[in-house]
Amino acid sequence: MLTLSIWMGAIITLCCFSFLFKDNPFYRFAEHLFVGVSAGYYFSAISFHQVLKPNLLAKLFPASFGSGQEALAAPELWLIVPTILGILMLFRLSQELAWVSRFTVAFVMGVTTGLTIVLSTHQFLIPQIKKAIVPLFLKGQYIASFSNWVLVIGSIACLFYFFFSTEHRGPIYGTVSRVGIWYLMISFGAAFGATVMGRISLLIGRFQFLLQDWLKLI
Amino acid sequence: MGMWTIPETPPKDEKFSAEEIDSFIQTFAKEIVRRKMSVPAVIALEMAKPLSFLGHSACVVMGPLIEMVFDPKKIEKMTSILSERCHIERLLETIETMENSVEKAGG
Repeated sequence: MLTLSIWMGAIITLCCFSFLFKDNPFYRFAEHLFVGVSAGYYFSAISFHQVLKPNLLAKLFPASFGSGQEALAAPELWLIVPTILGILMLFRLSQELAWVSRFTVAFVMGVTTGLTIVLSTHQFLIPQIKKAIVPLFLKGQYIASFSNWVLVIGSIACLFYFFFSTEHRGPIYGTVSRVGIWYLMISFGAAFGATVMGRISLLIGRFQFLLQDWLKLI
Repeated sequence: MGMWTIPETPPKDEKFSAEEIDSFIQTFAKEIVRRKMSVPAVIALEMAKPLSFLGHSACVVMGPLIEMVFDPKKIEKMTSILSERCHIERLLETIETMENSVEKAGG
């Protein structure tokens, strides 16, 4: 069984590497297989076994789906409401009745937006604003002062850049938004470098698998 | 045509005509160039090009949710672009062409 899984892994790895030559049916097979397996795993293992079964079915029909003490508990009938909302989502499959699913979507969007606004404000927005308010001159600490200048100028310039209501022209607005682009480019470059490093470590892992586990050369 | 050859022109899309897809690509590229984001966009697209089918599949799965926020027609067109790598190649070429013409006009 282990040998079979190693051979399958090696063949699929080679199928993926074949894209380096050019787009070909082996690579397409690998990507379709990945999508199919991911979808199957997500819908069966995660959506059903980790979400639907423990959170809905085991509580609504404890005798049939519950295990241990859970099976003896009384059914939680209020869960019929989310069940109905979930079923309404399936109406998206029909072109004429797709509007019915908007009830569920409206509920989900409303609750999610309300919760996310509060959470994001507390977890991201306020801490980020706090960290951007730093002293620009620190006595004797030239590097720390320079770092604070870079942070403050970068924050302001990037905010200017993402303000699209006015055209990025003029001596102040145009210049500051141009500085914002430079900051963005540097951060994109750093992100790209980190991505390349990550991909290379993945490549090393694959080569280790091929040469060590499959071919047993090292 | 051998088994190693993938057709360069995509199979005829039933939902959108080639002109509609082209016009969407033009609009998309124009917005990227207008925001002066050609370089990161080209890098990102070149990096993600081999995985475009996964992006297409993700768009199909997440479609019902994304369509709540964005225009469903645009999402469908984006899904259609991601479904074929040659569309992405065309988007890249369009961005590069527009960027070059902007540079020439500026210089």
